[in-house]
Amino acid sequence: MIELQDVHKRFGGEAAAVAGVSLTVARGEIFGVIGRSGAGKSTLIRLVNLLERPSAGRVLIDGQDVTALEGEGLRALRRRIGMIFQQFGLLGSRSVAENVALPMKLAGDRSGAEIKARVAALLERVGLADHARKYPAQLSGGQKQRVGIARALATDPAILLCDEATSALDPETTRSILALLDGLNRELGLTILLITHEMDVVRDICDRVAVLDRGRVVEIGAVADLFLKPSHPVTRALIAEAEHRETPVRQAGGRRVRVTLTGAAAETPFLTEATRGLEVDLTILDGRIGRTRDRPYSQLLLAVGGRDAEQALARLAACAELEELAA
Amino acid sequence: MSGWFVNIDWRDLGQATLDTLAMLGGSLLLTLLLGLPLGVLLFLTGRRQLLANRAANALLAAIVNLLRSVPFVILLIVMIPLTVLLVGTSLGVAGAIPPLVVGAAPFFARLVETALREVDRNTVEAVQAMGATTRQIVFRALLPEATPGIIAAATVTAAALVSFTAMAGVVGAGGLGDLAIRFGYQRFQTDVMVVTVAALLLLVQLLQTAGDRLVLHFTRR
Repeated sequence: MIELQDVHKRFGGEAAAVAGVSLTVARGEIFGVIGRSGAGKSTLIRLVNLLERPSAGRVLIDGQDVTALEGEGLRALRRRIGMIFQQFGLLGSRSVAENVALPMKLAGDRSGAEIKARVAALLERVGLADHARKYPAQLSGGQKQRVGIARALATDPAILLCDEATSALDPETTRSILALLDGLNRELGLTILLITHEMDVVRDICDRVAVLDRGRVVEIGAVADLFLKPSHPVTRALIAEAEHRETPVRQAGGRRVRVTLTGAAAETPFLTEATRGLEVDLTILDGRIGRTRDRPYSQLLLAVGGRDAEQALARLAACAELEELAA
Repeated sequence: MSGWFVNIDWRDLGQATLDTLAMLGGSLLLTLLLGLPLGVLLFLTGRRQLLANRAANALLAAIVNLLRSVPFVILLIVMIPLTVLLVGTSLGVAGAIPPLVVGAAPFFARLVETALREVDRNTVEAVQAMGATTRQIVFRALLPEATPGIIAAATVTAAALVSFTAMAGVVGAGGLGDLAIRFGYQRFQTDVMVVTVAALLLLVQLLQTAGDRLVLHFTRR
């Protein structure tokens, strides 16, 4: 759906903001790009609808090379790609309904009655039917972003770009906006590319994720894989920040293993099953239990000692992914 | 009752007020008409803007800065040949308007540019991302969003023009400032000075109040 082929973006004499990124976003998936501020995320997402032109490389949308599009061709492309912003980007001089109507008015291919009906339907969908006549300044941050989403969907795009769409919102509002995006993705098959610096956002709604550092993708994969088995230091740091974690310092005898289960297995009583009838000393040193978009996960750091430790470990290895760590 | 206001010829004062208003009205209108597009161009050709063009921007900026740095009294005199060419005379209300516009339009253009910069970048990007043409972005997003700022800029410019019209008396433009200089200052008629200055103050006050009200009206809060 969206394909970036070795794209570069350099501004003047500065170091490249995007330095050779290749990635493909499949139709209907929610793809996240995470990185710290200055990693090049904002530039990267703007290359997709050509708000920024790549200095090198190609951008393909639906298999079509759009890198060199100009004029009406470019404007038609942009109408197929919605975009929402950290600061919402609403027009303060226009009412909520006028903001949502604007993309359709600019396109000029719908009648007044059609536009009116569509505005009503979009506002209904984002839960703002009662706020049509208000001005953006009268709305809360979450409501503003809902208007932004309704407006981005006005021209019925197949792709939605989210530029730090929840970064200006409190955690509860963030969850409600993410739930709305999740629902739109499932209902409309909307392909979503979002950029964020928050691992929580990625964990909650993304299918796949790329980690961006200094303009390069340093790690890419399914969210659960990357989240539970990060390989790059930047990924690890982002996860550690999201979870407010410190390295555990507890002492315990036995072998140290990291046990990871995802999907249905994560919700089974795997610890008791692995130790039933055995003489084992099990110490839980650290643990992460939660869910990514569609998959529950459990990841425990265990110290396993006692006479039957070997046997218990073998049983664990049969139902979970096991990684032995230096004690 | 002997000392105060004896020197004042109320008909002169009335005529001077009308002259000032005519100069102000005419020059303000033209200043806005010329300065607004100039300000929009200054903004659009700026770095990383929609029509970013370093050469064009540098040229516009140079012209604007040059005109803004020439003292208005000098501009009045330097412009005389051009003024004669444009309006047929360098005297009176008509003769004052070209230098007033040339003096004020670049000032207003800079203020317009500043007002446009205040428009949230995400808002401009959002409209761009909708597939808007540059013209649509300017007329449907930038100008409406910057309207309160542009009105405030017009108000400041109008007040500056009031003081410029007073200087235009130097080239025989008439008006309140001329009255203040010729009678109030040169003939030591303090009462004339006081009354003309009071009239000018009232004018600036009225302009500012009207401007503030308009800004409030166009601010959606």
